[in-house]
Amino acid sequence: MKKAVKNLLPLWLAGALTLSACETVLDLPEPAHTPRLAVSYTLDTSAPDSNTLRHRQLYVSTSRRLFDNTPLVGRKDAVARLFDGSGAVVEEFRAGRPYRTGYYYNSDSTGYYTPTRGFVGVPGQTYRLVVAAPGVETAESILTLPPAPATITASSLNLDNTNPDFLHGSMSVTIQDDPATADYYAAFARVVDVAGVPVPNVQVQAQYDDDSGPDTNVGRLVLSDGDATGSLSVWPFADTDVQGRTFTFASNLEIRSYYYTPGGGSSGIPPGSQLEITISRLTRDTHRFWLSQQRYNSADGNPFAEPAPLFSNISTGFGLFGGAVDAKVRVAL
Amino acid sequence: MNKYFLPSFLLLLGSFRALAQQPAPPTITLSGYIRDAATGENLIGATIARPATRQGTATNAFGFYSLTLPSSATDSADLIVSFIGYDALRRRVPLNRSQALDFRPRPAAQQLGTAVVTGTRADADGRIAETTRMGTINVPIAQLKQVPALLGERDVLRVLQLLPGVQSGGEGQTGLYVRGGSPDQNLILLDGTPVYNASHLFGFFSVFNADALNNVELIKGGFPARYGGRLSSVLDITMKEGNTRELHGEGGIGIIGARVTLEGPIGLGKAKKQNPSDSTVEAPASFIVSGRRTYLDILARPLIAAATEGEGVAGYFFHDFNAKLNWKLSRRDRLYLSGYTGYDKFYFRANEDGSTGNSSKNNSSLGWGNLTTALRWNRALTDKLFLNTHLTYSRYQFNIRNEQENRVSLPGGGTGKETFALHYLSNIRDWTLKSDLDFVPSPDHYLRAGGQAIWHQFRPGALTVKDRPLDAAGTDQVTGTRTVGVEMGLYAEDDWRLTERLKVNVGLRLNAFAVENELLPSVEPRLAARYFLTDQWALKGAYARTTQFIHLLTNSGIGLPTDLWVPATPTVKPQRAHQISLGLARTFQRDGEDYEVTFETYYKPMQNLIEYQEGASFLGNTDSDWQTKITSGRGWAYGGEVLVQKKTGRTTGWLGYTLAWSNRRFEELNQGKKFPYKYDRRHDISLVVIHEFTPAVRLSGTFVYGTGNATTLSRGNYTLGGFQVYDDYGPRNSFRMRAYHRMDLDLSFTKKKKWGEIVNSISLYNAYSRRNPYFIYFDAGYDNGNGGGEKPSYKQVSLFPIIPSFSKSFKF
Repeated sequence: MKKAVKNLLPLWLAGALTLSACETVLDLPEPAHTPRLAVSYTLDTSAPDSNTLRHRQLYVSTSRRLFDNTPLVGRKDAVARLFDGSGAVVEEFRAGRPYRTGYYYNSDSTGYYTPTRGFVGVPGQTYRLVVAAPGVETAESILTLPPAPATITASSLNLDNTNPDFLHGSMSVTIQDDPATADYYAAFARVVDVAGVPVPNVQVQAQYDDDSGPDTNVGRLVLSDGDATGSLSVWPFADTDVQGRTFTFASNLEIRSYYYTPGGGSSGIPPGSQLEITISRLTRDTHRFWLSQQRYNSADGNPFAEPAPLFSNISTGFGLFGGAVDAKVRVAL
Repeated sequence: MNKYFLPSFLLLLGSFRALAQQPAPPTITLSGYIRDAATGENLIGATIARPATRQGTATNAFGFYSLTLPSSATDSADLIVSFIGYDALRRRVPLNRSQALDFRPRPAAQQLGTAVVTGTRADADGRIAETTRMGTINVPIAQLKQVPALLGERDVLRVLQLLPGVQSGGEGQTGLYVRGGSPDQNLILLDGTPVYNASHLFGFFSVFNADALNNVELIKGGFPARYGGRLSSVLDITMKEGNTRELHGEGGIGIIGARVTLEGPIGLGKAKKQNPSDSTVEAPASFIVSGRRTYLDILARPLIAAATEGEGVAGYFFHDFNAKLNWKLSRRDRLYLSGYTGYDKFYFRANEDGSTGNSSKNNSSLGWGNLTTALRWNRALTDKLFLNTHLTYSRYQFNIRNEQENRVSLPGGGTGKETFALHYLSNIRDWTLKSDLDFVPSPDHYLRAGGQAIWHQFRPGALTVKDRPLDAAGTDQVTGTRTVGVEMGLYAEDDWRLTERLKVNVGLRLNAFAVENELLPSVEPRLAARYFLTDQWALKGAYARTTQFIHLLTNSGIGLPTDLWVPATPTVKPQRAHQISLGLARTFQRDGEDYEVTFETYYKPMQNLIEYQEGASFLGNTDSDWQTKITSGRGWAYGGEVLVQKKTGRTTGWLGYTLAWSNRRFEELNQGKKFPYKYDRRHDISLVVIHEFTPAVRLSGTFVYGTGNATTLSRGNYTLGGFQVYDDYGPRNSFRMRAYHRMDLDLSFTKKKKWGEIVNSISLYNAYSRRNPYFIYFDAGYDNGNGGGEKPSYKQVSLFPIIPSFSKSFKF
């Protein structure tokens, strides 16, 4: 339908052009803009290492005025600290590189930070992130991690593995929602080896009924891509309609090996690999941020939609200090 | 609160009954109709008064009045019948018996100084200070035609936008934003039938053809209990009934369209035969038909055909057609049948024949329009009791059609055919049954009571797709649901003169909406009061609670046809508002000319307003999923209005000023913080001046100024890693467009002919060619690699520079 309606828009707009034949255009002055820190970081309950989902790594940059055409880059001179509820510093960060780099990543890796203490978040605890950098106001944000991981009660995987480089089928996980709290979830999946290390060059993708992907208001839990490059693709889900109930996260998916050897042929999916499914309980702000990110992308280029600003919980800045408590289940491929 | 409703409603009704039965000194009642002497048209709101005792009343929407006075075997009373734009009638009436008396005032003679202006309908003694009504404005149709026009098209709604408290959305728009409300919160009635989309051509022209109208009344606040169903205003438009004495016509041509109206009596010959000596005899029935169509598409068709070498046709037009039949069944009974249909259509047709024997046809269109019909019967049950009952149907529908047919030469010979057809529609249909009683027991009371039931059917988006590809099986896709809601209302009100100084209008309205197996009730008390501070100044106050059971889902707020009408549901609650207003009014004379001044302040909190969620739009709304794309919130509108009018003399007109605030708060928008409504306008000024040089030459001008609209623009951008760049939009609607101001002028020459008259008008829209903002877009610019190129910038698009136009109209 979207496609069909969009196809007709030129007709309509052509009519509007009849009216606008006498339009004139004036240049307006640039709106005032104060540069602020843009911060993205999600604290979770796993030890931070190179296996951490890309979208959870700390990234710091500075906003720029609208008429500035110079490339946007991150900054490496920020000082970032994580405090616990008592005010003690529990984590510090240093400028580094993204956990994973490659063709799809920004060639300028400036702006990524890695933790120095390996701190692991504790469910139910409160944390404060403070990021300072020269020339801009210090940014900070507070969160309380969800009290416990999601309760996963069952899982199933049904794949056609005729082609070892391309598995496709369906999976499902059953989740018991906590009746006492308003909960927010996201689901991730990746292929790991027997040691739990992600298998390189193997991608897990959800399959939808049509090409348009899940709708912003999909109303069910769908698979997110926490390592996505370019535009991130995290689909948050609120338990509004399943409060206190057991519900199923099910998805059709494809698992591809996309690394090809110089002599031809694929490196394949190594034997013994497992599908690791992560159900994350998110903070409310994390849910709002990713929901607004989906709406931002949905509105982009739609002349009929009101702008959809990206949610932020960073005071005097932009971005997200997110929190996630993960529950994981692995199923042999 | 609901538990108090029924007892209080019954109490109010009981008080009416008591009034009807209370012992009183002997009285007589005069009743009848007040109609135009020349045409027989009802004069709505005409007053009949006995100046000696300051007793009087006014006609209702059907020209009926009832005036009860103390009886006397010997005395008589001097009565004055007056109506704006008409010569006053004086008549001495004996007070020894009740009688039926009709009056036929004549339009004021065409002479300088008799122009009449817009104003609040006065009460019995003709002064605005007298009535309890607040925020109520009548626009005489004659004056409407004197205000400068856009492209020669005289427009009701455009004139209403020149009044304080009423704003336009933007350049050329006819949408009404009344006291901080949105256009869907206006109840627009055409002969009592709701009209859901009142604009043509994306809001540049209204659907109302002024030639077919008799009366226009706008109520901005202090709603009497007889009106319900919308939060912000009631626009009550009455069509003419048709001349009962002679065949008449009028029409005109302008730059973009033409119009014609014909009206006349039915059965006049027979009536004359029955009353050969009566020179004032009227036909028992009359008719009026009126049509209007734009013709830009017809003029442009040869050019388009030449440009596409005959393979394509594209165009746009709109048309309106009004008709009304008025039948006088007896002295006490009248029957009316009226209808309106209007439609806008963009169309595109293309036929392409390829050199290899392949061919394709495409037929696409966008269309939208209203259809309304009304059957009304009114009867004067007694000389104090008037009943009006009507049955109406209203439909608004938006259509998209796209049909494609391809014929392809097949490799083995022969021709194959593939087709694709898409039809998308969104509509709302209403059936309404309504009955109203007017009861006038004495000059101190005017009681009204009634009830209505509206059957709404909503189809917010229905899609049919039939795909027949050449090399695959065909598919059919049909989606869309219907939702039915039944809206019911009961009301009672009394316009009650308590003392010489104090008069109140007290009323109660009960509404309920049945939808999806739930009943959503509302109780709406209404109160308005007038108190004379001095002989000239009146203090007025009003309170009204209102409920609206339908919502309009819109991205634009300017009345695009893609806007979706949807019902309140158990999930999406009805809109509710309170409005409190307080004001002063004065009518006075200076140098022998009449002036009128009103000051009004208002405060209107609103609940359960809906908006699309951030990023959502009508695109893809094909079923009942609209409920998942919206968010509910609250609104606050408050401000003050001043209206100063010069009502008589060679130069007439008015000056209006509005100081207003309108804010919204939605949990899911703007991070839950309060933000200004898109059409929040701090200052709004309108000046209207009409000057008659001679009875045949008239110059009119308007000037408007308004604070710029609020909008959301990016102020900067940032990245959170990866390639994606995010805009910093700042708080919602935090950017103000430049102020809007414009002057329009109109010079008209009237030539009297033996058969009637011709009016030639020259108009200038935007006389000093102010480049007013229409919308703003961001131009990212480019870098040519040599340090040159174009820098990023915001650009403001202005739509209309100075536009001269000429129109010619005739009347016979």
